[in-house]
Amino acid sequence: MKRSLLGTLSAAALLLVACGSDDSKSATPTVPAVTTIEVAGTTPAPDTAPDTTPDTVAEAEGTISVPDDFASIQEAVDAAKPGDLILVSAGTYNEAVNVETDDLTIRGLDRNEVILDGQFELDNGIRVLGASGVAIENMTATNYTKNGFFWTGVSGYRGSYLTTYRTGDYGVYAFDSVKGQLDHVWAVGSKDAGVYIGECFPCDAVIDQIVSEHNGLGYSGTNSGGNLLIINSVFRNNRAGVVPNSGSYELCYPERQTTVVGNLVHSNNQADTAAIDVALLAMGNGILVAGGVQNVIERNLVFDHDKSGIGLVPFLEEDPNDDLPTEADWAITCEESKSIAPAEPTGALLWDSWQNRVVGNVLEDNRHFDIIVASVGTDVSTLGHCFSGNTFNKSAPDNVETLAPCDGTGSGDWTDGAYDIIPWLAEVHPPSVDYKDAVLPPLTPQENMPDAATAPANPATNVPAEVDLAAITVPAKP
Amino acid sequence: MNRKFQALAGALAVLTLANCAPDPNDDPDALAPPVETTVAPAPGETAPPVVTVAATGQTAKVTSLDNSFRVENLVVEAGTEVKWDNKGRNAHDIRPKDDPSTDSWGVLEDKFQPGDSYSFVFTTPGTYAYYCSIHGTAKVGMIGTVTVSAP
Repeated sequence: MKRSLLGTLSAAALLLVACGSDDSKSATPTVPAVTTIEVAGTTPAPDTAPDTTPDTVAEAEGTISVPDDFASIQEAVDAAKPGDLILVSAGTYNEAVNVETDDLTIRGLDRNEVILDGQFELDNGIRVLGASGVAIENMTATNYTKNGFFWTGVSGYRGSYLTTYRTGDYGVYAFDSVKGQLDHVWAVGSKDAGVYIGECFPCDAVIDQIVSEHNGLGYSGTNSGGNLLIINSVFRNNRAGVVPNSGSYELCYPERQTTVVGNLVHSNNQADTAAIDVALLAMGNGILVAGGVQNVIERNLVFDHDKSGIGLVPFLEEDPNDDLPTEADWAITCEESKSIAPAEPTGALLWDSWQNRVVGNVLEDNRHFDIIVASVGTDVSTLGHCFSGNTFNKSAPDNVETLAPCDGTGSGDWTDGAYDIIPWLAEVHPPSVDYKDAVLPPLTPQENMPDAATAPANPATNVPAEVDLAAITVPAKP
Repeated sequence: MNRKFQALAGALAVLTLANCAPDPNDDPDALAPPVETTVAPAPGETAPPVVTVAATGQTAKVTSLDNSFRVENLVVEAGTEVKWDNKGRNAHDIRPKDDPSTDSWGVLEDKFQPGDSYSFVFTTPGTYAYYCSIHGTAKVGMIGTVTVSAP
């Protein structure tokens, strides 16, 4: 009975995925463009020769100034050598910058005045392609059809003191990349996730002290994990808050071993955001592990959600590209998997969440349940989750800390208060709004990085910073 | 842990085919399973490409995921149709390294949304490098090759 209903509902959901169109898409070839540069408080930057010989500047000082040395960020990047610092003065830069040089530091002199504006025509504010060690600091990206800041295929990346505002896919997007750090980011108004780290294992990355709001998802990480820390951050007023997830539409499955500690996660029921289909399905949840394995969720404050504060649920992938991996398959690297033909799938896949550890969280006013454990057709008592030291009112099943304590042997009946997740598929949520039109909090000034004008180049060659997880406490309620 | 819902998949396939606009390049009846040889890399070695040997007139498939082509490097005989399926959740494109405007072959983003397919028959032996311009460049990121051998 359940499977029949699930099949019908999921088929309808798939049609949205398979046949839907993205209003941000365009047939226009993706060509980095420089259209205008308006420098705040000064005469518009010249579009002719720079006033200093670029090689001389780069070689002698290792610092390239925009627009003094080059009119555009792209020109400065193209002239830079590994280790250089690109200092960008206040102004609006209508650019889509591609970076293919290692170890650059690209820094705005004022986070709130250095604005990359895609004007709803350009794809990405700054896109780092296979260039390792690139740090981007202290600037804002807005009105891009895809992403604000995007790293792909790199080892070593850092994004610090960045603002992304109104972007068609992600705010900050790290894909197939390892050894990263994203800190002091404010990500607002993305259709997919404000901040995303995906397709990496071990990711060796830290998300620290960010605020992600009014996005489809506050954080999403598909098939990522392994020394991946999400700490000391705020996820609020998204459709859903923190959503580690698995699926065969990206490589390196499943999502596993992400650590979520010391975050403030609240009010993720926001109905007026842009949103992809997964965000619609996940709406009303704080921390939702969808098909994730061996994650650690500790010392977070999670409140005001229509469904769960913390949910450990399955993800049903209706049109998969491979079979479910065995644990032996986890040894195959992301790179290796590109050259291995996948199995021919014969049906939908159910990615269960299993062996997740939920400890010391404070949960309140999560209106279905503070903690939900669910599956479809799997006995949830076999999934190996554990729960201890949480402050909460109600869970499904009842009394999860008695059923499955992290230290000791559990007891009780898992069928008492069991949660039926299938009705989620039938719920009708407010549809996605166009990301260009979504009502967002105003673009207010954010904290600048210290000493932007004088700090030396700081490429992402030694990231992430070491974290003392034990020192992190449950955040205070705002 | 392995649970598949075959009836569900069948229903999905029917509904999807019934509701999506047909791709003129996509002829499911023409599909024939290619003969595939997959060589697993030894530990520490670079993974070799998967070689798909398909007889002339048949079809070899490449899956466009987010954000990679799988398999990344494909070898076919001349005359083989190569069919790319966008099975990701994002739009992609397929741009020949030597012809990014896709005048000779390839497909732009608006015709390669999730669920879309693109096919091309390679008749001339050679190596055809391509990439997704949204998630890579000709050199890095979401890239692939089709190597066409004489039949």
